[in-house]
Amino acid sequence: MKSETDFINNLLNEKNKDRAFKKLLDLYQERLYWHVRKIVITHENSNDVLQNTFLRVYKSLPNFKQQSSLHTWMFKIAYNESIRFINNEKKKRNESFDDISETYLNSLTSDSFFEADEVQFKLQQILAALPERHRHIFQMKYFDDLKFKEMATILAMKEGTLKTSYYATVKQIKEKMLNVELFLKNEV
Amino acid sequence: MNFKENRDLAKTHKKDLGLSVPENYFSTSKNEILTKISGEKKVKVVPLYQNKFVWFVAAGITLLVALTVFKPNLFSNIDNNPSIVSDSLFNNENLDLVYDLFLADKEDITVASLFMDDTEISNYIANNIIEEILIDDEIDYFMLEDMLNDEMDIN
Repeated sequence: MKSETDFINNLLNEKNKDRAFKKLLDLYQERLYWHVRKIVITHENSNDVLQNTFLRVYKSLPNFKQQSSLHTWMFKIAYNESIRFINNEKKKRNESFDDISETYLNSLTSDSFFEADEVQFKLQQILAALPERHRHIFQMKYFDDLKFKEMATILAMKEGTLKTSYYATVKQIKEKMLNVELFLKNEV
Repeated sequence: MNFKENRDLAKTHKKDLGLSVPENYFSTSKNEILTKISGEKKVKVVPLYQNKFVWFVAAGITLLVALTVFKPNLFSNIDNNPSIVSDSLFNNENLDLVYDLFLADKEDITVASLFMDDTEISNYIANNIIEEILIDDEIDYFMLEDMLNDEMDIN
């Protein structure tokens, strides 16, 4: 790929857009799926949100102002779609703040594509107990490998605030994982 | 485009979080997304300004306003009409006929509406014409919300 601008031009060009969009799917489908999956939890819901994300990307491309990179823009759309989805679910269930952690674990354990050993389940429990925003920040940095600068654009937050939140969450997770296997020890 | 190393995302999520996907999920999903997008291409929204009916209604409303403003005595001078016309216009039976014509035939809206009460016209426009315009252009509440959401995403 020559440059991002060339790629975007191909996405907007009537003649090349189909091929370019397939390329975009190859590059981002799996990345965005895992990003969405950690927010909406179940595979089935993630599949719906992923499809909506790419549909929205397709419809919004002509209006993409390139104020951020394509990478950041794609993640922002996926994040917004995921948040819209979980907010709608909360409204349907008339859910209070206290129920969120329980709902997270219930959704997880009801998903046939979740199978965890003791360590994995412990980590999921710790993540479920975190405030939603802190959990998302941790997941975006640790699992999705996003830069703080990119996260600042996606979440509309200051980089400094994100760093503080991330390192505080990492510390919290480490402390809670000490009594289980320290599989995060060398990675976080 | 700055891409990070190609980590095996599926393996990481399985190992650390116990999450997995169905076999061949990503190739199936790719086809589903492409099918949805090709369906999206076929949906063509006709802008309001290209709709002939909208222009027709707009012209009718303009004519009504123009007649009310520039010919305020048009209706009050109706007694000056030949008696046969005047009689027929004030005959209840004929008024009902005009009303029926107005409701039955929207093509005659500008003529028939001259003999209608303003409230009746407003009600008719509110209950029928606006709804028809919305249906014609497939801009229902959900699509409007979708458009607003698009704007939010873009910004």
